[in-house]
Amino acid sequence: MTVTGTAAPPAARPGRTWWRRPWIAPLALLVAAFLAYSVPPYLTLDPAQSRVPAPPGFAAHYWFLVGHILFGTIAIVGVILQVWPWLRRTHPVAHRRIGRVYVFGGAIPSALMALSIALFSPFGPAAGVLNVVAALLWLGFTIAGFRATRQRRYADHRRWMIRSFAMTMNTLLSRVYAPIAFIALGPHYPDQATLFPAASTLAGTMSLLTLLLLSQWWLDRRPAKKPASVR
Amino acid sequence: MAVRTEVRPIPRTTVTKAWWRRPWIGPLALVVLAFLSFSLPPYLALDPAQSRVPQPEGFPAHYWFLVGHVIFGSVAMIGAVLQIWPWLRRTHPVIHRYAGRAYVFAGVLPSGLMALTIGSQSPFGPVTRVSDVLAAVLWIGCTIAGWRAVRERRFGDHRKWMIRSVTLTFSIIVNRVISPIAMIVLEPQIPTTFGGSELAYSQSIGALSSWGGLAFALIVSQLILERRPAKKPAGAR
Repeated sequence: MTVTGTAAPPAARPGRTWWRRPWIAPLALLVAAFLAYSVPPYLTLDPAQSRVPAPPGFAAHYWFLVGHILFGTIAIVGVILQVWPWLRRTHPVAHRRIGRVYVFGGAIPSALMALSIALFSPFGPAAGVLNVVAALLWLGFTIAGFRATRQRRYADHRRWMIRSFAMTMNTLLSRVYAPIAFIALGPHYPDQATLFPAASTLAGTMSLLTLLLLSQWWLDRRPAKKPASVR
Repeated sequence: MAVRTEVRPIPRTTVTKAWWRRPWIGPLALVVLAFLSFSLPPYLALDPAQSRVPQPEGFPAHYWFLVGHVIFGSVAMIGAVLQIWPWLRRTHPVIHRYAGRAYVFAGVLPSGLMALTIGSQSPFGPVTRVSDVLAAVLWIGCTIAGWRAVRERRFGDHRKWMIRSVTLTFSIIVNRVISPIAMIVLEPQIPTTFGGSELAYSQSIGALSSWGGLAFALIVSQLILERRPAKKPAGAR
């Protein structure tokens, strides 16, 4: 296989459909809003402000939760930088360094902590299993993407990291679906104790399935015709 | 575009395949038979009292949609086993074509449409409803995409969409494997985890199995499509 130097980026076509025009700023704004909503209660390190009730018999739950959120914040900020086409094109060295932070200081520790807190989910076993599966996929996709780039299989790197990016967005998207799920299910449940697990499982299910389908659809899009050598 | 009509030699594959790549169609056919002999009989009696799915309120035709779904689904499942059997595909391409039409038009499409109806009214809670409707939409969509691809002679696309369609066909088996396991694990927890609520318990079982079956199909079909050893000449893609 020959490695070419810098491939000339294809000129931006003026007639691109509107949804393919720069999407990085709206995405970054969405992530910023999500972080501004999610992170502050945990920066005080005060368990009383936790939004997830501590399950009995798991004293360290709060600290796993805080760790998950802080590493998750690094991951979600990192991934936005990593998928930004301009930064990737013009600053490959930054892409490499941020990538290491994303994998080892973000996704992997955050997913491991998600795994342990999901096993003790206070929102019922269905939500727990769902989050365990999501954490395992996040871990697996990220490690596969890292291995691919270390072995210079860049097409595989792109594929696995798009999936890893999708899983990084899982929490955000489930928080977007959650209010819809609560509003839709609210009238059908007698009390908060049954509504909470049902609505959070519904939001989590929809989020994970949406992201798996969306990432595969993105990878299978027809217009992204590549020369056979990069496949 | 030039079309090559001569028969191309089949590239020799390695002699020693890993054990899990040796003939798998026999065990798969056995699993399908076991599933059908467990699932189908109660519905052949056409007796609503033997239905395994409680009828939702305000949907009197529910039972007949369910029976239709189960019978067309059985056609789809038997068809799927025949269609993915490499020996049959290689030696009897005409049968592959006929069985394929049965799979699409007398199996997946009617069964999927009925799944859409009964899934959206599922008595097992909102997660089951959403997963069932999504699974039915994907099943119909992948199958139509696979059928269109073969009619347009895009055989690489045909393979891709039909692998997805068939894993979705089999996903109901995974669903029925998950639910008893989930019941055994969670039943003792009804008074604790579920606060004594039978509703929360049954909805959790429904959520785990319907979501699990669908996620299994999505992940496994993609793993099959991306296996490394399946290197094809560029022309076949």
